[in-house]
Amino acid sequence: MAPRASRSKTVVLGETLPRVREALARDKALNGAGLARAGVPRAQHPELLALLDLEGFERTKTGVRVPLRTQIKAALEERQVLSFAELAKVIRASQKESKAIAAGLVSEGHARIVLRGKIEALAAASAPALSAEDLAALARSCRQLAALAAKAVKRGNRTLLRADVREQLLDFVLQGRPQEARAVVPDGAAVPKSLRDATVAELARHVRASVGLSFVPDAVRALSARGVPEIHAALIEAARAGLIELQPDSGLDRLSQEETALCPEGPQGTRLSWARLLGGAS
Amino acid sequence: MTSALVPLHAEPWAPEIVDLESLNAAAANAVTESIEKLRQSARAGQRTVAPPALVAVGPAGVGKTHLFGRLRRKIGARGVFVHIRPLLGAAMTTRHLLGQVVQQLGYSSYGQSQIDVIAGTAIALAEGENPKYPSAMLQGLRELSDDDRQKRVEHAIEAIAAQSPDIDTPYLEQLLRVPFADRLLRTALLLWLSGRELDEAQARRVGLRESLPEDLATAALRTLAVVASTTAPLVIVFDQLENLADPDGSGSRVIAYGNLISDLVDVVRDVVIVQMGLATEWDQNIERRLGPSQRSRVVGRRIPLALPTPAERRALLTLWIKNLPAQAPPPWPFTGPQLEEICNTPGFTPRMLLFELQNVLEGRDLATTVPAARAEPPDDAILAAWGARLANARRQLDEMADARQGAEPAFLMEGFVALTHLVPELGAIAAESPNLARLENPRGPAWIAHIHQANPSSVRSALRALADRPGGLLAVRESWREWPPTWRATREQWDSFRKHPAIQWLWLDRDEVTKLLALATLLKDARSADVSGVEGKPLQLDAVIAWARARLDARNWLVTQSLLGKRTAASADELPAPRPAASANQPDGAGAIAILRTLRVASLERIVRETARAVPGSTRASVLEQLRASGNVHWIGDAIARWTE
Repeated sequence: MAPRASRSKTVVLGETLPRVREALARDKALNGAGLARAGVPRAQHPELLALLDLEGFERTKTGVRVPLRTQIKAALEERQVLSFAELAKVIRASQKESKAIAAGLVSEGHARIVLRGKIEALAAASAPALSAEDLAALARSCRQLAALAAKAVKRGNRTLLRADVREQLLDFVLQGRPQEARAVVPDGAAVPKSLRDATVAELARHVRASVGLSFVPDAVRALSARGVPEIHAALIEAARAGLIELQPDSGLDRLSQEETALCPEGPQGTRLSWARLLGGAS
Repeated sequence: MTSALVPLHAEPWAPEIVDLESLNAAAANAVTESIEKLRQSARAGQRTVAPPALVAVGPAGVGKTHLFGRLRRKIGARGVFVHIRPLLGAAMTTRHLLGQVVQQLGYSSYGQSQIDVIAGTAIALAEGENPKYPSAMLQGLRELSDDDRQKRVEHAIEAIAAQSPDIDTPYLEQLLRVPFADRLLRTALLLWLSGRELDEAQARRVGLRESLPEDLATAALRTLAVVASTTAPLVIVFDQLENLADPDGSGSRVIAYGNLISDLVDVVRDVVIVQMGLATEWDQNIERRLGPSQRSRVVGRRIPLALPTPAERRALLTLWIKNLPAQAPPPWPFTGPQLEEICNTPGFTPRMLLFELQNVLEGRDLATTVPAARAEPPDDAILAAWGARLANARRQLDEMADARQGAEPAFLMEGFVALTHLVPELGAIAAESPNLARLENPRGPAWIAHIHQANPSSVRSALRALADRPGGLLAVRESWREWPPTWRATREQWDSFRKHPAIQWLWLDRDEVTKLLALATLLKDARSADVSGVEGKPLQLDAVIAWARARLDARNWLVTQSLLGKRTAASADELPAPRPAASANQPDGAGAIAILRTLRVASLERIVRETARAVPGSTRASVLEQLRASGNVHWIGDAIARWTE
C-alpha cells in the first residue's frame, strides 16, 4: 500500500500519477480517501482531478472514475450479456445512469438491448442475436405455428412433427444470421472463392452460441448440393491449413444417422462433429 | 502399459501430472485471471458481484479433468480447489456441495492442507501480516499458549466479521479451530463443517450437540468463500456435467443444477465456478433447458478447449516417451509415417495419442489404421476400468471409516440407481433425498432407505419416521456400523422396527457397498465417454452396461435379492458372514504370480487380463499389490514385470 501523504507535504503529481492510474484501473473509481491512499494530499486533489479530467477520466461528486462508457464496454467484452441490475453493480453506478450510457452505446452500434424472459439486458454487439428481419420472420413463423397447433388441438387426434417445428423455429433462426456470419468471416471470404473458403464461411454461419463451436452437420447440410465427400475433403483441408479445428463427437450416440453421415470420419473410428474457427478463419 | 506411464484418464487429485503447458493455455489463463480478479476485488472490499461462471466444453479426452490438475499445480496455495461430479439420478443440493467442498478442503494440494491455507491466510490478513506464508503464521500460533492463541483467533474472527457482516460467525469459529486441532478433533470438526452428523464422542470433542442445520449450508459456503477470497479464492470445478441429463428427458436435474449455480452466483458470490462437459451434451441437454435467468448466471463466460496442434502432439509424445524405461532415437517407438499420421490427422485428442503410443509399444498397429471390424472386444478394457473404480471406492470407504462414518449417503444412493440399469426388473428409482428413494418395483418394496446416522437418537428418529411410511421398505446400513452394545434403546427400537411386516432390514457388507459405489462411478464415467476400449475409442454406455450385466452378477447381490423380494424376512436381518476383501493375500493375487511364473516376462496389462480370466473378480489393484509384494518379481520400468527365481 502506498504511504499515506502527510497533510502539509506536497507531492510531484507527475510522479504520483502512475500510482493513481493503477488504482483507478483496479478500483474503477476513487473518492477523496482513495486519492489520499494513493499518495496525493487533499490540498492537491483539485489539481490532480483537473489532470485526470484531461486524460479522459470522469469527475464525480466525490472524486474521479474510469468513464462509465469504458467500464460498460469492458464488462460487455468479458461477459457478453449483462442485465441492467448486474450492470449497475459492476460499474458501481445507478441503474438510471447506466441505462443512459447503455442507450448511447446501443445507438452507436456498440451494444444491443435484448429481452431475456421478464428482464432487459445489455448485450455486446458481437453476441449472437437476431436482426430486425430475423425477428419479423420469427414472429411470422411463430404465428403460423401457433395457428397450426391450435388447428391440431381443435380437430383432435392430430399433432405436429417435431422435425417440422424445429425447421420452422430452430433451423430458421440458426440459418438466419447473416450479420453474425459477416462478423466472423474475413471480408474477402464473404463471397467464397473456393469450396474450402465456402465451407469455412458456412461453419462461421453455424456457430452455436451454447458452445461457441460450429456443428459440422449444419454446415455440411447447407452445402450438400456441392457433394458431401467434396465438403468433407474441404473440411479436412481447412483443418490441415490451420483455419479450423475439427473435434470428434463425444461418443454417446447423440448424432442421428443423418448427422453421422454428414460428419467426416475422424481418428479411431470417431466422427468429427464440431469445428472451432481458428485465427486464420476469424 | 501406458497407464503405468501416464494415466489414460486423469485423476483430479493425482499427486503429479505430466503436463504440456501450451496446450489449452488460454483456458487455464481464463481461470487464473478469474481467480486473480476475485482476489483483487475481495482485497479492495468490493464484494458486490460474483465473477462470471466459466463454461469449458470439448470432446472426451481433450483434457478437462487434466486442466483441474494443472490449475492446482499452477495456482498452488493461491487458490483452493474443489472437484465435483453430478450425482447419478439425484439432484445436487447445497448440502451435498458443502459436504464435498469441506471434504476436499481437508485434502493436501502440493504439500499444503487446503483448509490450513484458508485459515492461515485469513488470520494473517486479519492481523495485518503477510498472507503469503500461511504455514509460518499457523506455526507461530501453534507455539503460543492456548489462551493467547484463542485471543488472536477471536480477534481475527472479529476483524473478518467486521469486514463481511453477512458471514456465519459460529461457522467461522469452528473453521479456524481446524489447524490447531489434534487428529481426532480435526476429523470431527471437518465432519461438522461439512454438514455431516457427528457420533457422540465426536460431538463431545467438538462441544456441539447439533449438526449444522440444513438451512445454513448456503451461509456456510458463503463464509468459506469470503474467508478464502482475499488470498486463496475457492475454485469449484463441476466436471462431467453431461451426467445431469435425465434419462426421461424431463430436465429436472438440469434445472436443479441451474438453481444451485444461481445460489452460488447470487448469494455465495466470492467463488470461481468452472463448469466442464461434453460439447454435444451441453448443447443438446443442458444449456437449452435452463431458463433465461438461470442461463445468465450459469453461462458467464465460455472457454473453448482446444485439441493439440501438430507441434503440440509431438511435444506431448516426447514428454510421455521420456518416461519409458527403454529408449531409442526418434521417431521410436513409431515409424516415421506413423508419427506423421498421428501428428497431422485432424481430430486427435491427447487421450487418443496416448492410446496410439500404447498400441505401438505393445506391437499393435495404430488404431487409426485398424478397420472397426478388427477392433478387439472391450472386455479387458472395461475390466481394467472396473478394477480402478473398485480401488477408488475402497479408498473412499477407508477415508470415511477413518472419520467413523459409513458410505456417503448420496453416493450409495447413486449405487442403487446404477443397479437398476443392470437389473431392469427393479424398475425405476427416484431419489427423494440422499438417503431415501422410491422404487417403481411391482415385486419388492416401494422404498429403499439408508440408515446412515452416526448418533443413536438420530437413528431412532429415522427409524420412527420410516416405520410410518406407507408401502414396503428396504432399510439398509453398513454391516461394519452395527449398533454398539451401549445403544440399548436404539437396539430395542430397531428390533421392533425390523419385525414390521412391511419392512425388510439388510446389513450391507463392505464388498457390496464397494461394488455399488464403483458401479455408479463406472456408469457416470461411461456416460462421460471416459471409459475407452482397447482400440482407444470411448465405449458407449450401453456396451458398458452390457458388460456389467454379463460379468458382475448383480442379480445375485444381496441388495438386489432383497429389492426383488427374494430374501426371506428371517434371513434378511442377519449380519452377513465376513467376506474377505480382495487383497494381495487372496487367491486372485496368487493367480497373478502363477501366471507371471509361466510367462516369465509380461506387461502388467497382460497379467491383469490373464488373471481376470483365471480368477474372476480379481482387479488390477489386487494383481499389482501381489506382484509388488513378491520378492521374485523384477520390474522393468513400471509396466513390465519379469519373474526371477
